Amino acid sequence: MRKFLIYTSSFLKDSFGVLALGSFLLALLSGVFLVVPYDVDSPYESVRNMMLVNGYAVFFRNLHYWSGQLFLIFTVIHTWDYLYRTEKIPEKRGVWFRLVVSLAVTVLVMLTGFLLKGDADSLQARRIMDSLMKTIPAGGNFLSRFLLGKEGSFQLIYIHHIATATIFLLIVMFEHARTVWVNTRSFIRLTILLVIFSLVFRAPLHDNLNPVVKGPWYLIGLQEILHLMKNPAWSLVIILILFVVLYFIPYLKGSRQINTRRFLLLSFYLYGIFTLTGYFFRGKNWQWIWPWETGYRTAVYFPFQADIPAFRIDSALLSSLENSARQESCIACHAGMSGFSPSHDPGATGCFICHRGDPFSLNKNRAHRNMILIPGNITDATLSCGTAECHPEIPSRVEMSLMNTASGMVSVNRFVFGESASPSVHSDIRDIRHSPADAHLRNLCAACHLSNEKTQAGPINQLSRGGGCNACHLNYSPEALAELQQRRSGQAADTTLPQVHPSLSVNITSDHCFGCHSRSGRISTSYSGWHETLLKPEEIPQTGNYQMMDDQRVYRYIQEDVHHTAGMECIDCHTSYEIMGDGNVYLHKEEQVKITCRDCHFTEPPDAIPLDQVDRETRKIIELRNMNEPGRKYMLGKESGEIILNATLKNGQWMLEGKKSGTWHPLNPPARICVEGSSHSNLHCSACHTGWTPRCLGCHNSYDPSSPGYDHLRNTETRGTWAEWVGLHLAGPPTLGVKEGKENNEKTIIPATPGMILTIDRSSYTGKNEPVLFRRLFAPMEAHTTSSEGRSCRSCHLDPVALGYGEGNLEYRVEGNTGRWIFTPKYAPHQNDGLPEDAWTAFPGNAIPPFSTREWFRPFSREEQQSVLLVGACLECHDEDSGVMNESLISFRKVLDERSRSCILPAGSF
Amino acid sequence: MISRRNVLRKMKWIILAFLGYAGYKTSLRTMSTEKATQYRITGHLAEGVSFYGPVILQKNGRHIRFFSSSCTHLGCQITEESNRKLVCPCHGSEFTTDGKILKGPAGKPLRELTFSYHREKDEYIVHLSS
Ligand code: FES
Repeated sequence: MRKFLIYTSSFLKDSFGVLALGSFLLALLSGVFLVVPYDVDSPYESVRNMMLVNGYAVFFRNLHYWSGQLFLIFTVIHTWDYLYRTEKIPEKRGVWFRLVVSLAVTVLVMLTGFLLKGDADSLQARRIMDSLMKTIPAGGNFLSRFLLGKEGSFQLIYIHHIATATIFLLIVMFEHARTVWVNTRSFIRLTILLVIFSLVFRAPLHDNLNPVVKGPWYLIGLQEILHLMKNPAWSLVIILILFVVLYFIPYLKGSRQINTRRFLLLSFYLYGIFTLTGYFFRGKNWQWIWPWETGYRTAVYFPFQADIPAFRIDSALLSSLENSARQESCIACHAGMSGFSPSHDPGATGCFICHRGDPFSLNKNRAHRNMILIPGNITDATLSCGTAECHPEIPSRVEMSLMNTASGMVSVNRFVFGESASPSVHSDIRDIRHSPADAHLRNLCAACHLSNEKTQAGPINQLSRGGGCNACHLNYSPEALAELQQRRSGQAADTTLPQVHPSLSVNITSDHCFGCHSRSGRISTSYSGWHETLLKPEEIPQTGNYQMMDDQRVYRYIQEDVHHTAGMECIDCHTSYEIMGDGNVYLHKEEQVKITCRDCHFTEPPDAIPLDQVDRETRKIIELRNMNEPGRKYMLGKESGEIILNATLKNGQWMLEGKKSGTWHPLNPPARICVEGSSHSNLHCSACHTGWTPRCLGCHNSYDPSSPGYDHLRNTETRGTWAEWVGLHLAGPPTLGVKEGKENNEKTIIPATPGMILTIDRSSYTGKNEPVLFRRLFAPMEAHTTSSEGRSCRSCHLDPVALGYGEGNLEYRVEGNTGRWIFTPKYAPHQNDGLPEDAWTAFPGNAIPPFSTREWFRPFSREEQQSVLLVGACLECHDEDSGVMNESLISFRKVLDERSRSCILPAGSF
Repeated sequence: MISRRNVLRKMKWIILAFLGYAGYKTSLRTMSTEKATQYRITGHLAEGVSFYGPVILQKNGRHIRFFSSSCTHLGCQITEESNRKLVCPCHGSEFTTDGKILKGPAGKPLRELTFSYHREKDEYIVHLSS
């Protein structure tokens, strides 16, 4: 260390004391030049403006800053040097005392300089100083007032910086060195060094958006120490002790002096460790972050940046800055871009707030460094869309939401693979590893989650997966798209500035949802009536209604959802809290989705609330959608209680307004049959109103170690991949199953689909001798194929698919006085469990678990099958519109008791 | 022994002490009204947690509470909610959204502030010094 110091001082050809004095003089000199551009009434704005339009002022500010820092460094080294010098000339006690005090004043002059920037760092530092001083029992309050002055005013701090502390230092220096001048050669050398430094490195200024705040570098160690101190007053005691120790060192003798010096040196090293910790490893919210962790470059805020000042005074820029709500260097080049939605117009928000980079630099490379080209990805959402000024509450919700964690997808997949005992555990797709199940997910499914980053410009289309906030909120106008295409095709030179920006808004179309939601449950395609076939594009038949999607899959038209026919989009039903999460952790999608059919299709009128009772987010959406005409009330879902912001009472009729289309849809009450009597009271609306569900059968999964594959989580190519071979893709009215409620033995009949009738060859992946797994798991399903007509009585009570037996012929055979159900399945028994390929349960009988992808979902039990088929037997003779059948809806028991002799019921257990 | 030198030295201290005292008094006179004592919020209050400079609002339906945004550790302003926590950016103290301590170094919960509501102006006046 000493050697290094000796080397440094010999390089500068003078003692550290003289160098400290030289730096001080330079700071003084450069400070004079800052007096005019600096405005003590609006400190931050004036410094920022300097940085944007006045390259000369930037240079002097840098010079002022760096000479100040050198002054501090040289002063400390000089003091140290003095303590170590054996042949030192003892200072008079009074002079030495004043010198020790002047060390504190040196820190004060530096600190006041730091505060005068008036940025986020400074304001917080000022609050800390204020509180710290007030912990001093007597005179603390006075000291704080004397040093910091009036809250919000920088006047006194300015005075102390340029006068009080500076004059004090000058006097002490003069008393100590008997001169305030330095030898000219050293001064010139020092000046050259500092000028070069100031031309390259910029004095820090916080952008006031980065959530990380740090004190000046020499106090970052203290900041870290304060983090450990419940009672921060102790830090002052420690500092005082250090100064007292320093004061007494020259008067100590022999080993005492050596040991005390060692103690000081040790404290110095310790402090250095604290400083490095605070500087390099603290991210947002005081979180520890390693340099190799993702997002490090944005999470840790580095105040020191290299940037060569542009030596010009740009008055044109100054005037456009004055006309802009945000003062940033971006508009020096990018002013005049169009295409923004009103809320994201850079006139109000600026560019930096979303894109980051360096808002103070006029140098292209510098300004674009660390820029977020495509903001809104989950990893940096808190630095773009989610900054404190914009949507701070949303990233943490999205982070936990199912579209981000894909919890259900991961857990069910592991359950199916036999790697988890239950499908009802919380998982996060970002944490999956390389077990057979997780590798399967990586190869086939892991693209569909919001954390999958959008890395290229362009609109969200059928092939898009993930993309953070952009996944839903990004829209390209034709002009923006044309410009993008020009750029892609190379027609526009790289240097051509972009003119049209895509927009970010609440205009979320069903097309945004399509990419992910057309897979797996396929609700996006089903909603519009399309069912995926196994046809190849070249096999599309001439007749029939077929279409090919962008991923080359061929779809056949079956029947669209009645809401789709009415022109409703996904967001017309689904709320922002369902889509972006409400801050709770959910395991499966049916938990996160709150809206139910009965919210809009009710018999008793629902409640509605005025705008001022609506939560902030919903209110914002209401205002953005101009749904805030005076007096309008917002319907609370009859069943869920959620605010359905686009539903209201209009001219005496409950109506739902299309969020984008503006079309009004009446909220029709359920049909009489849905609400009358109790025989169907445990049927969910979807049990009858689901037009059809997609059904896949006979799927086999195995791993091919030699085929090229893709890891969708890491977005990298792999050698070897899991592959799926599908047997059949069918579409038809759904199977029904029983959802067991948690309370009161509550049961609800809901649709099911054969989600997982499959075999898995784990050994192909693990290389171990493992038997092929067979699963027959049905999944509860909201198919999004609602038809206004419910299923007929026969279509449930006489349908073997609805009952869970699979396709086939279900016949009621009457012989003499007894009736018997006979079922002839269409598909042969499966070698693994003897059930027909598409069955869920045996005919007749109880299924053997596991039978579902949810713990609360099962097929009809034997007794329940009997009850359904009992009615089925009646329907063999009685028309479903007959009086008897209508009566049976009110009381089936009564109808049975009064049945005629000719009615033959199924005998015993069929 | 009373020498001229001694008297002068004493005088020096007396004068300094007098100047110090007078200076102290002067500063007290001019600095008594330096701190804002109220914060006014007009119009609609949003549900959930909102930040208004020195004040944090927590609204839960009809329940309205105001807290000082000043961290009880060393007074930094808390400006953000993250994962339903209020985290102080300066030394990492964590509070629940209703001000209770989750993690130090802060040793006290956030200060709850009293407020009054003026119907005619639809204005909340939060008392910062309460
Ligand atoms: S000021 Fe908040 S943790 Fe220190």
